[in-house]
Amino acid sequence: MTPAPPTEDLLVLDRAERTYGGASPVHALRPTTLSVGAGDYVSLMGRSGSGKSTLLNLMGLLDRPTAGSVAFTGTDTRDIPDRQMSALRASHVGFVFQNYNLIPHRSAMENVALGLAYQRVPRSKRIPLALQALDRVGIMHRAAALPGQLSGGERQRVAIARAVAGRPALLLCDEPTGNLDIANSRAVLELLDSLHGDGIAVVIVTHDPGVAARARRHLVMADGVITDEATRRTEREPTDT
Amino acid sequence: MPIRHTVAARVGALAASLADITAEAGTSVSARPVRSSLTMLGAAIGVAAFAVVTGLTSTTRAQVNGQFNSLAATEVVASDTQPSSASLAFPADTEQLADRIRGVLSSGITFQVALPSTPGVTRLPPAIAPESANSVQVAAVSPGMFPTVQAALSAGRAYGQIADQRRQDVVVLGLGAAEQLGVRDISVQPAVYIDGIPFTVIGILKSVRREAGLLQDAIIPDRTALRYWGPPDSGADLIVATKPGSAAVVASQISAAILPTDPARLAVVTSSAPFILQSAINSDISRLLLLAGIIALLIGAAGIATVTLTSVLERFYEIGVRRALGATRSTIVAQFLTEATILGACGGVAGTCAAVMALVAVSGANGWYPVLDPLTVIPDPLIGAAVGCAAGAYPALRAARLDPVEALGR
Repeated sequence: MTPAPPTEDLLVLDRAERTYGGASPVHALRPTTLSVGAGDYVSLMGRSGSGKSTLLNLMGLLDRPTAGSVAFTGTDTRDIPDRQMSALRASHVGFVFQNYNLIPHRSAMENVALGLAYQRVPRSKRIPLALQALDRVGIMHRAAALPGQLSGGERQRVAIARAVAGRPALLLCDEPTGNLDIANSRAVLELLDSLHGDGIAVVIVTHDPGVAARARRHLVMADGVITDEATRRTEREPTDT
Repeated sequence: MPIRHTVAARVGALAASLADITAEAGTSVSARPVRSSLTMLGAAIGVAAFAVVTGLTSTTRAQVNGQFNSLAATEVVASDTQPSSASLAFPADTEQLADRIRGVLSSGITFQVALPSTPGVTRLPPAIAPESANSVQVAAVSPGMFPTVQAALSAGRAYGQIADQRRQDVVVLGLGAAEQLGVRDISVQPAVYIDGIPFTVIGILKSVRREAGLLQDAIIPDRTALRYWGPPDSGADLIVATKPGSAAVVASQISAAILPTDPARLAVVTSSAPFILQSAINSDISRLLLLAGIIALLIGAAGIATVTLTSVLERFYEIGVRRALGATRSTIVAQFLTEATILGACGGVAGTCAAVMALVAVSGANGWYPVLDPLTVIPDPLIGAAVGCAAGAYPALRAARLDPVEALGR
């Protein structure tokens, strides 16, 4: 069953832009106004260099706009100190990367618990929460394995578990199926759908139209500008990815 | 009370953060055993070198002190400031008078005899066969001089009070003098000629702890010297051996005890020269070795800094991931600093152990007694930790300044 449309704004970009300086400035993101509501499901498509990752980084509070504003849960993040920014990121945002980005010398469970540590979750609660997250993504039986002992699909599941263990409001996924085969891609996407069903807002960057079609809102970018935006109003039909 | 709760909560949070950071740092260190070992090696070498040189300082100082302390503060010299051709400043019972002073072990009079002929001391009568020149001088000493200089004889004996009182023509040759004169066997009671006067050789002096010049001299009783050649133009000295720590007290009393009617005639000095020399030697040794130790520590620190910086450069993506997960810049700094500190501390422990073993081995090879000052050994692991922390500062700051977006892109 398709979740109800989001009601309140979780993330609001108001003419946010990002320019990289130097002798020839690069306008990676031109003034962009965008909002993501709680429980929303947004896909972001575009060619390489279109500004998708820049927009994602601003959404995830990994970067600050050179102009305009980014408000997260009502907090204008333009001038807040790094510590506060990090705290917001830790407690409200989960990241899933194309390359998984797991810490190689920590087990799956320890990788998941690492995110909880940065959220200042008490030590006594980290392991249970980590195991819960691993169970949620269907990989608790591999909790003690090191990343090098996991398959690509398993690593991405661990990365997703790490991203959602702290119950973030927003999950940002940058090409989460980019390095996976078809079967694992489908499994990961179904997992993201399921997490969205739990109420987490999901923003997914992808080159794949089939992946993008799973989202409720579709954004297309080119040259640092959102060129197209569409909202799916009908119940999603099963798609093959 | 709210304030207490806030403070307690903050302290608890800080402790928890430190525990997490330490755990993360420890895991990172143990996850790269080869690199960590190489990094620790740099710290170990630096700390070991520092500990060895400080230990050598203590050990050599102990050896120097061992040589000096047996003489330091145990000698008083009273010199005649008004030499007279009529008589010695010192009366006939000088030794007995000095020995009465509390703290005096023994005493003896000594003066050089100026001979008119050259060489003054010969093996054969000069009239029979002229000999080639030698450097043998004649020293006139009272019998108490032998125990005062802690004389050891290789043959024969020293003369006593009777020989001195009777002004006997006897001589004890210093080892160097005996060799120059070709006297080796005194069992046949050989004679040497001093200013043409035959003297019977009754002993050969092998070693002394004071007045080393006696080993090159022909030593005759002071009263014998006075009989033949009169008082010396340069005056005489009274050498007094005291108990350790008594020199100052004896020095204050000796003049009045020996010459109560004219104590100012005697100039009295204690052996401060060994102290000065000892201090100078210890100071020079300490400075030199400390400088070498500090240089070794700096080299170790440079090694830690280099490897830690390389580690930061190789872990860009990990730093980016941590920042994405919510790590603050200060957390990143703390983690890398803690890693460097752990490596430095472990290297410090290893270096300290190696230094102790090296010091024992070096001391054993040289026949020294190894001396380790706990104050210079116990802090060595902490020094290693401090060196690691200081060396890791720049790499840690470099890691913290890394842009997470840039880091994740690598």
